[in-house]
Amino acid sequence: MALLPNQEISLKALLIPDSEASKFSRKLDFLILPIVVFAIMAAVHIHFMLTAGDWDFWVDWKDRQFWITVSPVVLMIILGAIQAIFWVHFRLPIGATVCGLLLILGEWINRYFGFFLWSHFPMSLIWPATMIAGCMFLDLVLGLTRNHLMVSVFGALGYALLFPAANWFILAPFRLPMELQGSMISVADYIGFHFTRTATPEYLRIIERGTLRTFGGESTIIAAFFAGFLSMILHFMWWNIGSYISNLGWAKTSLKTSMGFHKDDQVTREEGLGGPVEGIMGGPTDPSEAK
Amino acid sequence: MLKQLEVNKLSRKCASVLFWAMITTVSIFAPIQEAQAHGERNQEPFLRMRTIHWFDVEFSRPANDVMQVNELLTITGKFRLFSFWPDQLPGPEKIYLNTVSAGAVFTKVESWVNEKSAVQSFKGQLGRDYEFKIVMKARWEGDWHVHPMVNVLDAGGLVGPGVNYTVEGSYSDYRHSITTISGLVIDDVSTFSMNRIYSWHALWAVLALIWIIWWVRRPLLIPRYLMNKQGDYEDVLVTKTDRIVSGAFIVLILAIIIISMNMATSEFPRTITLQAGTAVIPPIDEIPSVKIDMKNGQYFIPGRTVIANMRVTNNQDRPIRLGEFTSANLRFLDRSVKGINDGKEQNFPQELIAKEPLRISDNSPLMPGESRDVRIEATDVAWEVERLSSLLNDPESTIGALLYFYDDEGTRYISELFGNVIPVFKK
Amino acid sequence: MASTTSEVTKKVTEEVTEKKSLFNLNWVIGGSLLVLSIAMAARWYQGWAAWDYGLDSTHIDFQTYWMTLLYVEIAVFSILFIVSNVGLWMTRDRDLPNLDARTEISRYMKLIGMLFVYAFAFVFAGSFFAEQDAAWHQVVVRDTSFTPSHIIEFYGMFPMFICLGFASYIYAITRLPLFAKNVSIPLIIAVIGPMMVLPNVGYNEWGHAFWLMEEYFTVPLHYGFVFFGWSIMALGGILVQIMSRISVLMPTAFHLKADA
Repeated sequence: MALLPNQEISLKALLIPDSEASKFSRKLDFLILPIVVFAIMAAVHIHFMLTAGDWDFWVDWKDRQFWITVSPVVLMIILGAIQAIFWVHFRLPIGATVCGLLLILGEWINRYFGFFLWSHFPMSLIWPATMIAGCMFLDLVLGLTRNHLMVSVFGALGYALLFPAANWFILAPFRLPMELQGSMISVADYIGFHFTRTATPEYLRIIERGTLRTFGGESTIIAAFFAGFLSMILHFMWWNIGSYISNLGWAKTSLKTSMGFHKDDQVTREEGLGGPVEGIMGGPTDPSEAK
Repeated sequence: MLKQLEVNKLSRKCASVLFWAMITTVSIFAPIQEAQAHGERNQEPFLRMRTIHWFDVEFSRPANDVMQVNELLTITGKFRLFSFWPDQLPGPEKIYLNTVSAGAVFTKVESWVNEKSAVQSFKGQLGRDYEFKIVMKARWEGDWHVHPMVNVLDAGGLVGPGVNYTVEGSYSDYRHSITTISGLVIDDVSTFSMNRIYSWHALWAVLALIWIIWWVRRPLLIPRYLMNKQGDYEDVLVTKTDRIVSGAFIVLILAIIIISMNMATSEFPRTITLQAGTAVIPPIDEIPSVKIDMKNGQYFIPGRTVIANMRVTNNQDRPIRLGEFTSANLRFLDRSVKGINDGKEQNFPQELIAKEPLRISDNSPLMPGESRDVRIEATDVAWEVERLSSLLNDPESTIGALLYFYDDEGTRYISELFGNVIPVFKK
Repeated sequence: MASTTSEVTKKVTEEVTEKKSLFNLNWVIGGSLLVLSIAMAARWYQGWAAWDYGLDSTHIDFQTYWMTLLYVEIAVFSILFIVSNVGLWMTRDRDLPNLDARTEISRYMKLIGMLFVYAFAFVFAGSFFAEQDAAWHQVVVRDTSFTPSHIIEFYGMFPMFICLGFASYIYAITRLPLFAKNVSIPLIIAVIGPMMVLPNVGYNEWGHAFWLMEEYFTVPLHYGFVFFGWSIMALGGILVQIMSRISVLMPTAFHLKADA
């Protein structure tokens, strides 16, 4: 896609180090970066907490079945979209990593100030899972191949498989068996029993359901591959949705006359559209193309 | 960027931040005052009167006792799953013995129902009784109201009587040690394995930051936007070096994962899955009852009195008298009856015992085989305080209660009272 | 054909005639500190008042310490919403067709500054106080829609960022030519979408009152918040529009010339 003449001039100025244009641009980077951090942190966190949150809040929800599948799959919804926004417009293969890092940051802040300091739950009950390894893998495949279809096929599969793999190191101690009141339970079960939650009785946990046939103890691997399959589909879907959303343009308005414009004035390509003036809201198509 | 700001403006802003930071820090350690009930007062009357009735509840320590962190408290008692359970609510297909102390300020050390382990949930039977025992441990300093509770699947938590305790000390002194089957001793479950978790998360955060900084260190937004749009800069935007670094990072990440998994597996070779089973806990033997048939009832609002008219038939073999009417943890007693226990020695919260005695139209002994029409009046301001008078807002205007009859030897019989109630607005 | 910085052959000359900076960060820093102060004060208040007076909504102290706060929040944010948006509209630029490039860029910087504070406020609404709600629900028996957690989150933080979002939108359409001539769809989504989480509270409380007695967090009842939370990502679309426009303005604003 060609640049407008003014944009060509701007680009050449921006590529000169220490020019006024490049200094301005760099300052703008540092003004916008925090906005990106805040927006992604809030969006990813609220998305994840309401779609996979219970499994992430509590150590006695981290099972071989639901936790392994639900966590990476629901996160992929927003990962795919944000990764697309970063890549399609800026060729930055960091979208997924930024999401993963900011999600973990938001979760730790909340576990400490909310769950621990305010509601008095111990850290051993409420530590968050790590998502970063899989998120990085998604971005690294994109950086290596520069092809988002490769990411949908290989990156997304690896992302889902890496989720249980990356968390086993910290989860394993909580799966040690112990005896309580004549029954065998895991340390994670015990921690959930011991530190009472008023509104989370034991039966509320969505864990280890179904026929539970384990085919020789491979439940985790089966759940991870299922997560991988879903992640591949979701990454493809949400990559396209993210690209679409970030390319949305303009629609009609009648308020412009209050600011001195004529009612037929529209944004044009020459002014730097950044998205089409088109019929989503029933507005006109790009007038410069109609001429 | 900062050179545009005047120094005094900056100073004022810094002072503002410091002030609020100080307030926040200081108030984290602010003393906590007495706590209140936990929301059960706003549960509808039909919920509290017709689901679970708690009785013979005993606390091992007196009300307002001062405990130290790590000291134990035992709560025992019984609960009845009311036969006239509301249709609007799911039945007790799956229930769980829990506690309310407002979260984990008290922890649960033991949990028994009918001397069977109640670590798992179990199925309850309507009309039957269960005997429970919970041992709790003080964990977090403050004033806490502690209750037993039963959670019922899809119906929520049904709270028992509560007692106030003051816990002194510091939560950082809390210790609860367990030993795994393989012999590993865990000094304190509240901080178990946390250093490992913090380090692991920190490692991944550092790796993520390195990858992000690798890209962010270059001119970012407008230049990359334009170069990308122009189309001829693909190898500038993502260079060969970038791709090599990507590949190297992939190898690094996979190596870290594989090594860490092997380490975890060799360190903890025997692990199990989360346990998702349910317990099987049959109820205790049926407690003998006296036959009653409620005719009608009223709630006399100005006088805060519940009135019930019923026909009582003595189907036991000894003469009986009515000793107690109890509903939603409120207890109305006729203390003249032999066998009555107000629970004072059991540290039952006395504010739940009505100050006025239960008025009974005729509480002379009822002989075996006899029937009598009886009118009872239960009066106390607690009806309002506990918000039970808001039964006017219930979709069903009914009450449920337990009646305790006692024979001449002091043996107790428990009957269920259920029927319609009409509000009376005028004096 | 690929080219690198070192292979740029056309020399660009720049004549800088004005020294005035395009950035004015007072709004950004002041607004952010204000948001941070409000959030810290709210968290401090929750830390003690929730335990002392917030466990039982039938208690008179609950009315004093929590319901009063609720009424104050409703009043303050309603007034702020009206005053800020009407004020921005009344002071609109009525001669936008003749706006010079440098001024336009500086206004874009102001808009970005407002979006900065907006996004910062959304961190508290969407991340900090939101997940805290899960923690508080594990402590109490839900007895009313107005819990210490909800009063701060739904009726404090949500209205705060809604005010900021709408102000950003009104600023954009009254100060920036492109945003005046046409409706920016990403901007609409980024403002209206997150705003919809507040009406969604009605649906949420309906579900909790009549149908859902258990305190799961990840139930379909809550998906409305998820859906509207996604819309903050439309900030990416706004970014693209801004980058595109600024890159067109830069030659005029910075007096850039392409030598023949």
